Amino acid sequence: MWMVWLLWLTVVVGGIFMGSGYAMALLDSGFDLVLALNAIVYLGCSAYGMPRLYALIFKRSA
Amino acid sequence: MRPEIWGIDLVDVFFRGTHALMAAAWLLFDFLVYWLHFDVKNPEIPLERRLERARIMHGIDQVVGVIFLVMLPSGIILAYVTNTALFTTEWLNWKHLLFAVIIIDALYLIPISGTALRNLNAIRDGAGNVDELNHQIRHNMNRAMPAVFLIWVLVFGLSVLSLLNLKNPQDQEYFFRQTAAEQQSVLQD
Repeated sequence: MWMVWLLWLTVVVGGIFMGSGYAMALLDSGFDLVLALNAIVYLGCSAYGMPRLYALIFKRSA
Repeated sequence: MRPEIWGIDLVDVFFRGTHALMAAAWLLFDFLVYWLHFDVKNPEIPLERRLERARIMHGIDQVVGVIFLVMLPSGIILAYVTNTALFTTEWLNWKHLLFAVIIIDALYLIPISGTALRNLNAIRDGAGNVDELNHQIRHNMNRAMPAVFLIWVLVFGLSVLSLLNLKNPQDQEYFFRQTAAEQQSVLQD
């Protein structure tokens, strides 16, 4: 079970950290394809993981 | 001031070493899982042997999972330790993009993993649909193979990108890099 927690925490927290970092770099330095792809993919992974992490937290505490 | 022994920056070397060893262990354990999967999916092999292999495979897979998940934070720490800008270093951006593809790949693999052990346990407990369970094991493992091969290629690519671009620690040289002094002498010649 701890693996599932580790997985979704890393995907969500890591995704937000990396995605927002790349989004800010994109705003600072103008458009760059690699920066944009990184921002999209990391924020996308984070968005994908959020409902799973949410379910994990509330199913556990219920 | 960081701790040093004989001019070697211990913090720098520790994080570089840990990161590189993790990548090596990731590939090594992945190869082991690949080797074990042949027996697990083969219905001709005795059930007890398949179950034993599936348990070992599952255990190694968990280690691979932890290494994969810890790779990102360890890389972020390494970038900080080596004074490498995290979001504005071009080669590192490419590396992060390849790693993001591995994350997507892993998210695809998650529902597939664990099926073998579950199905083999069901067969041992006397499930009636043995053929169907065996077919599911084989089908899922074969379906996972392209994703597994893609991970190997991407990890190899990440390693090459790192080797070609990493910063030398201060006053230290690596065999695959020309030092600033050598570069200067080449330029002068």
